[in-house]
Amino acid sequence: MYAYFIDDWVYSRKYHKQMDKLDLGLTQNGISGRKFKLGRLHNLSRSIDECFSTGIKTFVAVGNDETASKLLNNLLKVEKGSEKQEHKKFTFAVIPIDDSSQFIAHCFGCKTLQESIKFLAVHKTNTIDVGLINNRHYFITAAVFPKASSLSFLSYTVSSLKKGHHISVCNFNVYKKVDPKQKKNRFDISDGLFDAVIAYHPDLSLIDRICSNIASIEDFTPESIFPIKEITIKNKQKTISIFADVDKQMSTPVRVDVVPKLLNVVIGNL
Amino acid sequence: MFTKDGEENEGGIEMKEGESETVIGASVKVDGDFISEGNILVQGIVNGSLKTAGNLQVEEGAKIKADVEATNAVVRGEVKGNVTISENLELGSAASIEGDITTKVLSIEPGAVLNGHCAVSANGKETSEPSSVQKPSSDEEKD
Repeated sequence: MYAYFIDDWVYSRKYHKQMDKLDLGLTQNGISGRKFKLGRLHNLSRSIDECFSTGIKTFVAVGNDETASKLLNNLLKVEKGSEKQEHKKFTFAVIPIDDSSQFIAHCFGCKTLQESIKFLAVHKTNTIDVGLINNRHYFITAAVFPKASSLSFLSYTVSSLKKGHHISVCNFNVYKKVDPKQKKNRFDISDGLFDAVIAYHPDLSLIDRICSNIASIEDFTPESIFPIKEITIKNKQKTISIFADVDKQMSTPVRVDVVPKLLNVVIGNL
Repeated sequence: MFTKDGEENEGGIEMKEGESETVIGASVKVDGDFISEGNILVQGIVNGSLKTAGNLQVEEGAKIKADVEATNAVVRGEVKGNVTISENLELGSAASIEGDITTKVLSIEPGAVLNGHCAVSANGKETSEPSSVQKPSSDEEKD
């Protein structure tokens, strides 16, 4: 049985056609289920509890990264706080609506609405590791930290000698410019390890600089990579803004723990 | 040897390029006791100690000021500290080691600088009287 948590903005007129396609796709594939509209005042934890009590095992976020992150964090918090066995076994999936902020869906190999429905119907799953920041925010893809941060391990610290870097803690590969030979052994989503990466800004041409073409995360070149199970990221600021599936404000130092094989997800073509 | 194209050299170290689990890049400095279970590629600066159960590759331009322990190692950079390798140690032409070496098999390319004692034994343990290795004369270094 399926539960679909559809973000508030998806109900706007702009996405009517996509919603129709969604309804049609779910019916045709026989995977219709209970639908929840995620409004601002929606009590997500209560809805999740309700779903568990009615035997629903597959939870689908319909929207973007923010929708997926919201549902994921609530699911894992309900699971963590519950001793009931039925709360421990569930599957998480995403259906992207619109093209922006679909990082999680892309990492799961679900690039379009139609693809996601197809993969959901096939129900090919994988149990993946999940990151936990400061013991309160779960993330799936990567956590990206601002400049002037440094990595602190149990017995050593890592600092950058060059400016223009950023630090990330990755489960999935968020970089385009990873050495193909490295890709084979890196960014394994279920090995119990994340990769702490120090990446550098690409050299921009004068025209790019004039046009203020700021490189995205994907364009950074990873230089140093440390496999981690837990890590502390330090910064001179008391509070920093990080990107961990979604933008978050976190107090420093930021501790990241890897929770191995925590989440069962529907995976497409990776 | 570390092989670049994925082929393994007979009797060499079976670590191919791109298999390093930890990469300490050229723009990075590591301070403290670095302990790892996997392969390490060092291109930057390491101060403290460096210990791994896997293989170690120190690239040209890398500066290690630490005692080093690994199973196999290829050194093409600078190491100031004692180097203990349980299997094979290869010093490239750009390598510079200031410290004592203990290993089972040692190969040195012409041009490598070694200033310290060197103990090479079949069981990989240090012999009671390590043989001293003299620093090359300045004329040789220029060549």
